[in-house]
Amino acid sequence: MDRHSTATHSTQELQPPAATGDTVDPHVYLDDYELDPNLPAAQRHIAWAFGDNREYLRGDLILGLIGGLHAWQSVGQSWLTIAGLAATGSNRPDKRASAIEVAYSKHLPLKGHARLMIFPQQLIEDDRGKNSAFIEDLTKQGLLWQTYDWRPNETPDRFMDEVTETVRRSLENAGQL
Amino acid sequence: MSEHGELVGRLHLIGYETLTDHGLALPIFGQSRGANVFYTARSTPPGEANVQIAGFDHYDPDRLIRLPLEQIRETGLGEPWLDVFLWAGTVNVGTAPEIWNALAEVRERIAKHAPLSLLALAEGVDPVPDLQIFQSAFSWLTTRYGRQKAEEWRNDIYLRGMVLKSVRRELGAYAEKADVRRALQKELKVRQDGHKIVIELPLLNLEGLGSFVGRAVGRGLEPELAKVDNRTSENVMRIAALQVAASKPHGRATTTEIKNEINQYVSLTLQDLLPSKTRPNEAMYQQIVGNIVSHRTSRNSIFAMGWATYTGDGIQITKAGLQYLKTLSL
Repeated sequence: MDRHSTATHSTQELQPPAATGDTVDPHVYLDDYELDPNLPAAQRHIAWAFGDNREYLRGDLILGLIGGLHAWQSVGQSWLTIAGLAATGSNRPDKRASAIEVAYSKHLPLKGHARLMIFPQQLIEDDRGKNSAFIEDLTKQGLLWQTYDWRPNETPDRFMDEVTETVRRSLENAGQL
Repeated sequence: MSEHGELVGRLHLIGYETLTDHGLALPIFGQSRGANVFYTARSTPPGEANVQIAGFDHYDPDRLIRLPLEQIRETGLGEPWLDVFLWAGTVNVGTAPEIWNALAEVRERIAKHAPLSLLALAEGVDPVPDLQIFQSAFSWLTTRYGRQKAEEWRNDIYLRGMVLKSVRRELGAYAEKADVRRALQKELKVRQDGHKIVIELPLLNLEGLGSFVGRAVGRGLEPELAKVDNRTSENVMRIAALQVAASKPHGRATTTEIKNEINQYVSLTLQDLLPSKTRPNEAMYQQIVGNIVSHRTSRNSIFAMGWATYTGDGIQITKAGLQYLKTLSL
């Protein structure tokens, strides 16, 4: 990930919760915890592990969940341990640790699939017309967009905070939290 | 010192990475002009104007654009922050005031096409930039994207950013802790009520936000500070302490364990996370945990209620304590 963006990486198959650390190796397949490739499966997983969407966004697992698993359910236990890295109070909080990642085998048009784009505010200005065309494209496709204030002497963690807060507000306004 | 512990004293600003074709870019540093090991700089404090370089971190640029020889600048720790600002195909390198002066003839044109970038540069020159720049940015956004987008920018990005910086200055290094950052993001609210801009935050005081208020008033806004009191009650903390103990073998938890793990059972607020006034090395919530364990004789203590016993270095939850948690469905 570069210092400009907070974009997430792409994955090659449905590989729900993956603790990726600092880098992503596209050749490593984490297929040991794969959900059915449909929305209800993701919803069931969120309900089981987090309780609701708000806690999922915060990365906070239902407390005591691991105690309800049998010793032989080692995959679930491992997942809960990894997903706990995203929880409030983790020493190295990493929201990717409990994120459900969805991968498609084909390109998807933004229209109808993307809801909100968040990018640095410099991209809504123009020196030579390129950015105007970009914003016009988004508007034509009915995509909502928000910006954040990128500064070269600010830390990437701060940008992530801002983007997360924008996403939270947007989901709240849409009644999804 | 770099993030890998390597001593990086002096480096050269050798290039940059762009976000787009104008405005501030990310400065890239190296040992020499032809370097193939690259660094970005950290400033102290981050995101502020008139700052110094506090350190360098290894960085692998995707699209490094190298500066011509005559623009390469040597710099080092403690020296003024260097920016790279792009405009109309030219690359401007230097401190923010140097770039500001170099752009004197084209600033009006930048204000017409890229007022947000001009405002960002202006803040590096003077934390209280000309009112006109702010207003032209707001008008530009209104004309181009509508009043709603302009107000979103003013409230959610610009003013909110000013308040956040103000609070970070007040809290110092404490503000960089992950849980404090998170609570700050969650609890800081900037909303508009007619001409009034209402700012909600637990620790607001006029002294700490003097700069913000002065600037907002100067911009024809009426900031109103709404101080929110959302400290977690001691009663909620007592229950969470019992939950920590209940999660441990034999229901025993040391005071340190409770202090470290209580945040798994209660959503700590910014007020809880602030440094204690009497014990600066501890957060308020940790001090409250200490009180819960040490105030054993008070009438409402977990010990007087029979929910826990004191172990010498912490607590042990009793059957009555476990039963109490059950009645709370915990």
